[in-house]
Amino acid sequence: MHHAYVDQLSAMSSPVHRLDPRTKIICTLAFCGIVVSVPADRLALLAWCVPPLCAALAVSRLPLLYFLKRCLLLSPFVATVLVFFPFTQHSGTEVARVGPLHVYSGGLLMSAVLAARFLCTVLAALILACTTPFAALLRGLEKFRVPRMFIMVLSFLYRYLFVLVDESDRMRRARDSRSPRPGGAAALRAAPGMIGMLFIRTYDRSDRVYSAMLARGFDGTVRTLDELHFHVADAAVLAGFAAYFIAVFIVAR
Amino acid sequence: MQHIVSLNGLKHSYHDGTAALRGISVQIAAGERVAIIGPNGAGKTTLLLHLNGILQATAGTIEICGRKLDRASVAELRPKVGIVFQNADDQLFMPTVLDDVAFGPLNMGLAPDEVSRRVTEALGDVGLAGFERKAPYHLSGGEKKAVAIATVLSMSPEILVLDEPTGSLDHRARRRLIRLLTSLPHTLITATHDLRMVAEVCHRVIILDGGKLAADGPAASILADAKLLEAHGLESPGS
Amino acid sequence: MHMPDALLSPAVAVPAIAVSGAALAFACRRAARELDDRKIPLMGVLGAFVFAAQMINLPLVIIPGVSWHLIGAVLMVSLLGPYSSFVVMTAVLAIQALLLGDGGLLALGCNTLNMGVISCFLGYGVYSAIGSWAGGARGRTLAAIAAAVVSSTAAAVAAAIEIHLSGKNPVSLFSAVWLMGSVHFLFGIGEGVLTVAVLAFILRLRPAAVQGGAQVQRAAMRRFVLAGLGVSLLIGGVVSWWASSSPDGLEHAAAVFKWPEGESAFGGLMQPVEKALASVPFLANALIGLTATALAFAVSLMLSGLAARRSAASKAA
Repeated sequence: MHHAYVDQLSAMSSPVHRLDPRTKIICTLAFCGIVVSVPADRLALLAWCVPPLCAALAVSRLPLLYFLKRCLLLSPFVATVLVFFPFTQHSGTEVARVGPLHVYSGGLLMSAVLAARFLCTVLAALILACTTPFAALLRGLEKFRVPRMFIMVLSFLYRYLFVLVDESDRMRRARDSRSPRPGGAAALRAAPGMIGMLFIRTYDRSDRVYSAMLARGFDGTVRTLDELHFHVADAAVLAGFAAYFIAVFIVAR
Repeated sequence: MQHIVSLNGLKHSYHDGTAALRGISVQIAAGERVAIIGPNGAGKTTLLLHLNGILQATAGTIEICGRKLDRASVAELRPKVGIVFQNADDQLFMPTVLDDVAFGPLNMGLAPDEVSRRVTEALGDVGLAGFERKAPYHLSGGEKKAVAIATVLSMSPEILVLDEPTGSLDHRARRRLIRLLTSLPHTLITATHDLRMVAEVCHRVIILDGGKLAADGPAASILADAKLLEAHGLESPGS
Repeated sequence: MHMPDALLSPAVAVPAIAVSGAALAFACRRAARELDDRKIPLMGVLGAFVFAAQMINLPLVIIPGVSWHLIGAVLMVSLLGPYSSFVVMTAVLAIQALLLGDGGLLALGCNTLNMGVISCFLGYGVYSAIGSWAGGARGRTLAAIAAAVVSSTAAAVAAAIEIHLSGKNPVSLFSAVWLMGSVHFLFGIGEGVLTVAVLAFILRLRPAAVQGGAQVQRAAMRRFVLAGLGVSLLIGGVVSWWASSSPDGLEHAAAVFKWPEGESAFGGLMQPVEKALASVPFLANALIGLTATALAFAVSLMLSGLAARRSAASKAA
């Protein structure tokens, strides 16, 4: 499971892993913001976004192959738009003809820019996820004034995510081993029962978890130990990040 | 001598009226290790859940450390009774071991330094020093059970209550748990099917059947009484 | 339907983040009143349930090889009420963006707007309106299906509009809206029917769980119906006016770079359709769509009211 693998990777150690989650959150969001804001006619600026990504990847000691594979997973949205642009954007010079359809260089350029933006933002988000244990990520978000109830819901969701996915996997295997042919109408008929059963097991579990919380003195507020510490490395990374992009914008002007 | 746990005529009925406990009276002294055994449906878990007020008795009284347990005293008495549930996954609901073990002491209003100290101590007691950063999902069954016990130990309870502690453990984990339980100084009350563990760990055995107390005596004599055990759906642990 | 960052411009993504963030803060406060003390473990664990349920792939029997899955927003709404279900669905979206890369981080604002705010609040408005009017099990069935269809379609239309306003729409707004809307209209039907089946199953085994969200006061219900209609008016009327009165991203780019005026159609395939649609000004298109939605809404309300009256009459007889 992908999320299980991310969980494993985030538990590794590297200079990037050791940074305060707040630093990584700020850098990732700022980076995505920059990538998305670069105007379509300033491709050079987009190219300058690549080195910081590569640097982060290299220093984080994350498996490169895994990242390359994830890049190939295109979102259906982006795939559709990428395919449409060369045909519907009648700008630049005509490059090719596919039957009655014309392909123009302007459209191809727009597709290329879109693909580049997609790759950069997806990779940045993935690096964040793979270098920050989820519990630390939540602590960072809490410092950014995300509502406490939401943080707690995320916390419980994450904690029981693997448990529930395991349960649903087991149900799916049981269903498949009793179906005449996978992907048939039998699977559809089994769905309400499976999903309903999963719900009931979850509902009952929440009762037991609540009892366990009460048993340890829960009074409505969930308390945790405050653990985040800002270090010199964090300040250095933030300063370096800002300096890099300020320089890029000045030079590219 | 004041008993640390005193149940008098404890009765409990479910919402639909069926009686779960039909008048239980038990006195437990500090430091005793008591096992509650009996067939399924006898009311063992129901009884345990009364000890920290999660379930309320429909009749009879409960006294913990000499004080009557009721709605008013629950908040004060709950930290004294540490319940370890059957399924460790339900008890480890925080993202890291540290958060789980710190949950109880933080709810007691202790200072962060004191909480950290207790966490380290509790994890050390269960033999899992250094496990603070681990996520519960990645732990083995035995480790989860140990962490669950640590989450309760960090509250410095007087009484440890365990519901089916050896349930899903493999042999090695079970051995380690038995060693741990014999090393802890707390008063121990455990509901279990594992009669071999009872023989090693507990001084006293109570047989619960159909919501009623069927027997109450020293572990050695009750566990040796094969006829008594069989009469209540249990099997003698053998040699 | 999760949108990646690359398809949105900051002008669209940032306000969406602001609106969704405000909605989340508001919902958290309201959710505190909606459920009792056990809400935090309940919502968290249900979030995991929604995530796991979404992973159960179901065959689209009519088209072999294609699969779909339950989204779960309407299910949550019927069990938890609007605010708690919004918190749950937002949490699921956040996890998907953070852990799976399903949906961009900056796009979380828009994705939450579509699959959280619209799905849960508009869905709840429709669900409680029809549920109260029709009453009983048949009313709940109709309510769930209607809620799923309306919220699914509206969310898809909103997504299309957001992509268009960001200048990343390769076809016309009308085409994008029709494409997204029609596909998700169909998915909405599937979602509604499956939700009804799951609810029936849950009702048999854990009726206590179903008590939660369906209790609505008449006044609150009216508020939600109005809010729901208001949202669709906003999207269809105001936003589309803005989109049509100011040049959209592509047109602007075309003006700046002096690209040749091209028909924004997929070769010659959509040309005749586009020509017919283009002859009617966009605002008129929007109004037509709105009127159709409102009519459908009204018709279904009338029908469910008739059904309720008939079942009441047959009971009395």
